[in-house]
Amino acid sequence: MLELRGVEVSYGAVEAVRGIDLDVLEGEVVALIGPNGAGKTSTLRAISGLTGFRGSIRFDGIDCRRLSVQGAARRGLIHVPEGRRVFTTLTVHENLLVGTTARRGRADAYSLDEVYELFSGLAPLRRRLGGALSGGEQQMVAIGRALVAGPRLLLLDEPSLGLAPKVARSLFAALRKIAVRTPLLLVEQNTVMALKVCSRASVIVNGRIVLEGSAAELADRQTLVASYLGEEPAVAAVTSDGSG
Amino acid sequence: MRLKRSVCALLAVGVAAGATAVGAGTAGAGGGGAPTVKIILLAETTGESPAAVPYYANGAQLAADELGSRVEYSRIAAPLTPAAAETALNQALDEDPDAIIGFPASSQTIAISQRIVDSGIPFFSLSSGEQLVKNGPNGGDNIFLIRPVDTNVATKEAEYVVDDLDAKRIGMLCVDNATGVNGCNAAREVFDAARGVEIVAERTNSTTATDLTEQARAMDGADAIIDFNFPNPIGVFAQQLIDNGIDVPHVDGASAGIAVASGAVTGDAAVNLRGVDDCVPTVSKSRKVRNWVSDYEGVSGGEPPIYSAAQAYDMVKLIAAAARQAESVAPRRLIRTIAGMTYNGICARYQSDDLNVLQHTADLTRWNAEGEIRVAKRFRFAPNELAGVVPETTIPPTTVAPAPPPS
Amino acid sequence: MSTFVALTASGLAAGAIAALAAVGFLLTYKATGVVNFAQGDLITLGAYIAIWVTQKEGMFGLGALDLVPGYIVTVLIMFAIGMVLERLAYAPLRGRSIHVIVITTLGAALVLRAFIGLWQGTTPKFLDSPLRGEVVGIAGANISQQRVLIVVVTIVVVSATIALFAFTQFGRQLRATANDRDTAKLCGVPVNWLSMLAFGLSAALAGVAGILLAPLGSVDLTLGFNFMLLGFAAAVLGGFGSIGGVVVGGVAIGLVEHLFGGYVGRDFKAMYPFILMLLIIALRPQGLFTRGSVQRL
Ligand SMILES: Nc1ncnc2c1ncn2[C@@H]1O[C@H](COP(=O)(O)OP(=O)(O)O)[C@@H](O)[C@H]1O
Ligand SMILES: [Mg+2]
Repeated sequence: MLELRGVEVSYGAVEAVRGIDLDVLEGEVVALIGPNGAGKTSTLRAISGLTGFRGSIRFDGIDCRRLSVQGAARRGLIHVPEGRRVFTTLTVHENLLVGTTARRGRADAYSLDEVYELFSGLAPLRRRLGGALSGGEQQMVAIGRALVAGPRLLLLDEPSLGLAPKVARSLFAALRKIAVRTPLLLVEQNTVMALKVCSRASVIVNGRIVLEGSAAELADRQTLVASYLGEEPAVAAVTSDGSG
Repeated sequence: MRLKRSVCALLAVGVAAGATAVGAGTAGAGGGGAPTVKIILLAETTGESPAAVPYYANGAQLAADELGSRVEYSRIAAPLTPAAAETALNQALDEDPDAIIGFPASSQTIAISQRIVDSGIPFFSLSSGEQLVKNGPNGGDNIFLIRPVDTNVATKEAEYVVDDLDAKRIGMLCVDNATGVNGCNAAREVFDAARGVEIVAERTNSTTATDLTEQARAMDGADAIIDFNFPNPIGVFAQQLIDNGIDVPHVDGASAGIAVASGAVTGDAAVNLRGVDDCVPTVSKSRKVRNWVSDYEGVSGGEPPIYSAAQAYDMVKLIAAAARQAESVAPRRLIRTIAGMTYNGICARYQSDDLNVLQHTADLTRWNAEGEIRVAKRFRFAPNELAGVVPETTIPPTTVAPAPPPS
Repeated sequence: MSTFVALTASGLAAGAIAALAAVGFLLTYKATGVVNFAQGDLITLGAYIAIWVTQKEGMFGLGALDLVPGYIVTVLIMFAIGMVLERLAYAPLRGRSIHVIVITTLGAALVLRAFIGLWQGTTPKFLDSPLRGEVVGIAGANISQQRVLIVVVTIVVVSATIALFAFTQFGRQLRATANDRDTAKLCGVPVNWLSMLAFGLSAALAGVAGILLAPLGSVDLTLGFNFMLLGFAAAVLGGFGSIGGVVVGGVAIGLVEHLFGGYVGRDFKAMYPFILMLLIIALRPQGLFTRGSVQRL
């Protein structure tokens, strides 16, 4: 349902993404793994229309260039941006209500109650301002806000970034539940966790995809993956808080 | 600027062409000895400045149309700032006129008075700040004041309050700029000198005031109120006096007429109000003036004239008459002729005194509850007299009264 | 006592108009980050449009409307004008420096004023009101009903605006846009449309202010400018934060001008609101009613 071909993104002289191909099929969870500055965020921003790009991006066969950011959202291409970006001056509940804007009658959307069920920690915080939440709570709001929009494909930009390992684990538990209903394109540096959720993964370094395969294949080659991320293998990746 | 120049040039060409055409139709009207006199009007007709009113241009144009080939008339828009006024003056001087009528606001004229005096060209001031009289700090041989001097008018208003209204307890309201300060100073002198007269309250207001509750209530106990103000605050004040039960005569200057004409003052507020206009052509009983009013409405699209339209008309006619009498348009001869002549115009009988002031009358106006105007009294000003003290400063005030030239 | 009551009424009425202007400032600022200094001239424009639709041949010669329908039509026209202005003058400013924005909106103010001058002339005009000349006696003071109307209408309009902000999806979307424009887009919020609506609402509020204010005296090109300044001062007092904050700021300013200025140093009363504003900027730049800090303009 999502198809990237030869996508390039540059900021002036900086070439952030240098021609990548990527597919997400119906029912799939695809992880895009890579170190800081690899071009992951730029790729997601290109898909949702926040950044211009060269090459072709199609969502459901539609040329994404013809969609506005809002138009893409209304079609169910929902982007949970890096750094969560909850509306700090709105309450938790209001954040979710704003999230329903893009729903456009999609019946399969999560209801607000379902979100509070999924993230039971949010339920008592309904009236709290977004700015007064912890990082983990904010991430739950950001994802909840995306779920109530009725995503047909969810783009998640480093959801575990900056979260304590325990919080990250419970978040990924939720993501696994979400993945049952909703295809995901998951951008992560936390390889171990990402590979537990996804069916396929691509490793991006310096704006190019250097390695791709099924989750199982990549899990077998963790050392190689870790070296691309410039990290100590395996264990380090699990406990990494991503602040590097 | 270039664009403006070319527009003006076009305008001048157009006017000249029109004049030629009319001249051809009334061949010989100019007479043997009368040279064509070139007159430029410096005034805005449209724009955001309160001095941008159609009266001057319509009045002058009407006179020029009637005079045909005897005048070559054009107008240059002169925005309100002194710098823009100077630009307009320079443009006018470039065209080598024989006479200039100009500047609705005294701030414009005063700021560049030296340049006007140096040019030596007869200049007819639409404003009448006392600084501009012949021996005043900004006056000169070639500057004529069309209108009676502001402070003289203020003095007459104060005398009216004391003598005609027989008021003993007087309230004063002065807008916080030159109009209010000079007017109130002149009036205060009259009250101070009058026996048994007391100023019971004196207040100020800003030009944009929309609430004068405190000022109105302070007038409680006065048996007459004198007010030197702008049209908007007058409307507010007149109504708030009535609202607060202060039902006494309320005298203001030229702004009163504008306030009433706007519709803001009606009923008791209008009945109590008095204003001063240089003349009120629309209520004149004279056949000549009545005919003129209908001619004017022909060029203005039905909009009735006020004093400034009549004065602009009169000045173009007066200059043409002077040129004919002098048989010359040489500045010195024109000035000498004007200084010595009497001209019977629409607004007044003009005769220069030693201060170069041309008009020596003004009308005290009143209204009925519907806002219909009438002339209640005619003020006459003795020639060569200047009430009050001429302000020493030559720095012009920066604010101007809306619509009527304040001074 | 009656003087105190009369001056309080004046202060409340002036404060109400200032509050309407301030809420107008806040709306566009929140939605687009633009502090719209043309707000005052929009007030003036509102008064002139009301005159246009209710007098002589009415708008486009369609016949003059009665006062109340005329007022409503005026507010609708102002709403449309605000939306158009957003597209023409303000959308291109998005993301520019605050200096560019300030100068441009001041420029827009001058253009508006020049336009009104060309269109309506500079001779003062008058807008009638159904309450013209009527007064109510309160504790021995005669308060003009128009001033009472100003306060009542302002309370209604501001409450409606607060409710719109707090309880409607439109309000949430607007606040979300103000908070994080890009993320609002990702949520599908039509941010450009919202900006236009915010400008439309803001201009409509200016129209309401103009309609309420005009019948107190006559109308000329300076009508709204002073209230733009007062409204800005009110918004600063409220820290450009909540609507409630700037409304309290507006009322404070009206009362300071008329009540304080009615008793102390009367000749300087027009300055008091701005002295208050400068004091607030010096002592509490975040405003009286906001927690935390805001960017200094
Ligand atoms: N707005 C921008 N302007 C200039 N350079 C940018 C911008 N955003 C990202 N970059 C650069 O593009 C590259 C890729 O960034 P990004 O896509 O954010 O990587 P990632 O999300 O994988 O960490 C980096 O070198 C980064 O510095
Ligand atoms: Mg990133």
